Amino acid sequence: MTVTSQVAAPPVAPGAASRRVPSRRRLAHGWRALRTGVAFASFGVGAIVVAAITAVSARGVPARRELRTQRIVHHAFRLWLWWMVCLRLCRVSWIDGERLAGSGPRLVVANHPTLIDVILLLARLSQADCIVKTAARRNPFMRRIVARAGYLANDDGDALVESCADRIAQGRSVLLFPEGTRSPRGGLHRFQRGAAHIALKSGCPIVPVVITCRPPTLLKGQSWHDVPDGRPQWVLRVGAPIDPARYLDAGSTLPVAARRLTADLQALYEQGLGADEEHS
Amino acid sequence: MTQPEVSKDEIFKRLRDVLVGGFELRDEQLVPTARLVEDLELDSLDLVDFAVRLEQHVDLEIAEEELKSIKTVQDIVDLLYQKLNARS
Repeated sequence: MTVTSQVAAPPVAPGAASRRVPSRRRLAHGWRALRTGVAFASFGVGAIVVAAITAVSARGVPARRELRTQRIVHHAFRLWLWWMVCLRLCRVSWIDGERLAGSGPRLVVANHPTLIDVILLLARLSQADCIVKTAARRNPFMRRIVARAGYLANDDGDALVESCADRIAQGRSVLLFPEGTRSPRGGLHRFQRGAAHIALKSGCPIVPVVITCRPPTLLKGQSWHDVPDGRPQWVLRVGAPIDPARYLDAGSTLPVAARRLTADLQALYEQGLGADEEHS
Repeated sequence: MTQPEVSKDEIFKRLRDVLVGGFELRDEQLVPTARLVEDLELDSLDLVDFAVRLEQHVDLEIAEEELKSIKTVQDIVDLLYQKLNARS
């Protein structure tokens, strides 16, 4: 068949083959952008449905209501990721993901290369208090869910550390991105010291998660329809827990311990991203 | 009997003790024009801790508004100079 079609094909003008490839590529690109649009639209619809479900289930004492809402968000994000995989828009791999299994408070800290990192993490963690930007707390789709889940506002550094330590003291896990915003392409912003302060104050171990995405997509400032040619692969590597107590040796002040812990965390992520670069 | 005036040099030395000991900063970073946030990389949590340490070190109370107005090492020296000598 293939041979026949080649024989029957009309003479090809010079350069036509090279023109055909980009047009096929453009078509594939448009098809991928369309599927991405469908995924984002379904996220918006899903948010309305989840807001309705959490409105009905938002009864009882605040702590139980928050945990119930977080569990609903967890399942909704799992469903949405499954839909993303069905649409062939992403592949997700976890390395040492079992380190996030089980209960007990933990401080999960991750770099933030793409828009959906928080979704990947909350789809894995059935309970996590995360820190939400003002924009998300004002977003008409998200604000009610954010409020019902008891997610924390990132307004005041000192008060935020107190709130996070308080949640950990209640046996809850906290998720945060120490860069405070999405990472620059292929790298990291300088880490803020909030994660270290929370760990030192609460005594809770930090569980580091190094996230990579290849080819890069949904970066800061990149529009949703600016899709890559291939299907992006997210890899989330969970590191061994870091005990903050070892930074509080005799003679070390809290600010010094926070600086050292933050510097070590930053180095760990730089190393993790560097290793990923070498393997790719 | 009034206490002798505390010089700005003396205040700077005490301030240096707080910043080097409490925040692991190097001596050469502590120039009068050094900005606390941009140059010395003190974040909001550090600034609160710094105010507490400073209060203990010089036995003075620093109001939140005063803390907010401080931008450089020289600003702190000037503020402490004014407060310490007003007390004496």
